[in-house]
Amino acid sequence: MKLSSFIHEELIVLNDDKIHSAEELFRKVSGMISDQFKLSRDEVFSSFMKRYDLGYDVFENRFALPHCRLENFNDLIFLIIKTRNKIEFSGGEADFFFFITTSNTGSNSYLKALAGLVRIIKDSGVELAEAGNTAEVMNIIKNSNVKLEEDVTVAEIMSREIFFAKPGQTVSHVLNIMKLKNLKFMPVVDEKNEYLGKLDLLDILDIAYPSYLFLMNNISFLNKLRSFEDFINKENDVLVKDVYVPANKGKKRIIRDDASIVELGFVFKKEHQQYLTVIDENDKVVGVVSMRDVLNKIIRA
Amino acid sequence: MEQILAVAIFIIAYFFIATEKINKTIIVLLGASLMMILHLIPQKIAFEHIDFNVIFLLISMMILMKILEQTGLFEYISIKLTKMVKGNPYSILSILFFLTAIFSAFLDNVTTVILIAPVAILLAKELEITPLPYLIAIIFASNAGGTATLIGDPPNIMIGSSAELSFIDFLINLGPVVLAILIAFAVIFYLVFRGKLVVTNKNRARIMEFNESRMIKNKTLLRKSVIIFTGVVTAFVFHSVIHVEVATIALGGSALLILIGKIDVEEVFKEVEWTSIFFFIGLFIMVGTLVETGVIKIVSSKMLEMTGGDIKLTSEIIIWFSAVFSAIVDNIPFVATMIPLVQDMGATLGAEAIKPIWWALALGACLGGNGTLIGASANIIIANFAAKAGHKISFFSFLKYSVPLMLLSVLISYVYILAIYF
Repeated sequence: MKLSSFIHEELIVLNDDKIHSAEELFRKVSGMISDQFKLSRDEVFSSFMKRYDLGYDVFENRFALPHCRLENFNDLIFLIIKTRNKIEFSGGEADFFFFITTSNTGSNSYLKALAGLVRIIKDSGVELAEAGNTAEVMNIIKNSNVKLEEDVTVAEIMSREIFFAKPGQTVSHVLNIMKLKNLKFMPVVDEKNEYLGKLDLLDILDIAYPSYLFLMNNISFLNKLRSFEDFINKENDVLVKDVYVPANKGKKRIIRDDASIVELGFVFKKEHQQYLTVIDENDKVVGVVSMRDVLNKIIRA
Repeated sequence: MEQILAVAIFIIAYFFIATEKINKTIIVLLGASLMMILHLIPQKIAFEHIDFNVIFLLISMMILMKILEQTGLFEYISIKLTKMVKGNPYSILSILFFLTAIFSAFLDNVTTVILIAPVAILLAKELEITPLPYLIAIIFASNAGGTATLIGDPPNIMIGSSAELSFIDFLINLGPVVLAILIAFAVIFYLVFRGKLVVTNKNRARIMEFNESRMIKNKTLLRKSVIIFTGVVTAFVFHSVIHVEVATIALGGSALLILIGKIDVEEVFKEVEWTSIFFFIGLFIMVGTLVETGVIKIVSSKMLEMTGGDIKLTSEIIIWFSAVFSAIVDNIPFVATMIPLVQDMGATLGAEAIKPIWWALALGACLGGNGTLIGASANIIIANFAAKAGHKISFFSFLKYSVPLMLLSVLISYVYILAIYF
């Protein structure tokens, strides 16, 4: 089914100048949805707010895709609001909102809707933002020809803000970035930004625990360990190239951006990874995807 | 024609084993298959040449070792003794040396060094000294210690099985000379490394802080393992009296320990070094083909002709030749080839008369492993450990220890054989 079949002109509001906050936005949406579909306004509102607390990504600095899930509800409702001015939204600013309302159990239809909307934003975001009236918005969505069966790809859930580590950098430098940006994982690339492998906190811990220790059954007899104590002194001397895990044929720890979520989960399990580097068709690194992305954006989306 | 083909395949296989370019197990399995495909040996006869006494002894001992190893007993003993000598670096050197020798008399050498070397590196790092003296001592102790018993080194297992020599035969005949060699090595190590291992009192105190009692996580399994292992070794000692083969004892012991230790059968079987087992299987078939095609008979009668059936001369040649040969290439295929040769000579000279030749072969082949860094698997493993710990042992720097020590140990053995048996 076409996504446009689910969207109706009466559920599109453009250039609303009365909305200045996320809360006002959700009040407006809840009102519209409850009037049209005979639902409890409070329930819809609290569901939107509950989900909002978990945070959203803002695409292209203006688009957001808030959604709510309702108990005892078996439908899929889309609603579009464009505010006159950008409002603060989930740590960013946005003025173009696609709202999705689904059943509590319908994660599948939600994912499909999400994938479809992301595609529309990607393909026709500029036209949508410039649309002068609701009919124009409808046309753009119709012409995009996006179907609801589209599956979510890695590109849609990955994080595009990437911090790279380079082989010549010191571990100390990398640890600083990890601390500052709250990272556990970094792709390692060469001077041409080509993927070489990965580096995570556990790999860095190798400095403190040399490989011979792992041949012992346990080291519970030790309270002190020199290599552990030397860790702080060593972090300035040890380079990324000494500790990172290079990609090899068996475990590359990468995934293509157009891979499905099904494949992503499979690679996570098969390669025993929590993080993967995302590459595009030209083998260029375009993002990082984690198990947490799957949890936040899919399982508990 | 058959003989030429068999010898050609054998030599080509040997060449590849020596160059270590391709996995040696694959080489012997391919060689064995080729010999059977070319009908140099019928499959039925080929399989009869696989010495299952050796195969099952190896598998069973690997299983027993894996279980015993999990208990943390070996590390516990090493740490305990180290603390008893208050972290003195020279006493630690002798503890590691003799402990390795004793362990390797009952475990295979590779297992022994994998158990002891990490402890040695850890101790050296904590004491802030180079681990090289410890690691070098461990290499020599593992190869020499393994020479003393029937189960200490694969060549002995093969010789014991083919020559029907008992555990006690090995211990009585090889034990004294191995002890003499170990003492000589220990004295030399002390003299060589004297003054080179200086440690601070503070670092010794770090060793004293080790809490080894925390190492044993599963006391029940430890108790059961020690009981079974002691039972197995005791049965080894009396196997010729109770008329039960060593492989049977080890097989029964390992199965019993799996049962009472509540060990996951699948997991423990995964721990068996199947590549080594199949290396033996392939090798037995290839050597069996040489026997069946009559090649061995020709070579042994030539050897008898050359030595005039003089057992003393043959022993002298064999001990030196096998030592030098084993220092350069893997001693297992060498011993596997020598066994039917010696057996064939025994057919002419009498099984009892050729016993010194067996001891010469065992001593030469096992001690030869000390000759170079690639002379035995245990040496290669230690070199890898050392490199990973940031202390490279180069092939040539090792030679300055290995050649004199190997020659000394073979000389001691040579004098011993001449003095005791002739």
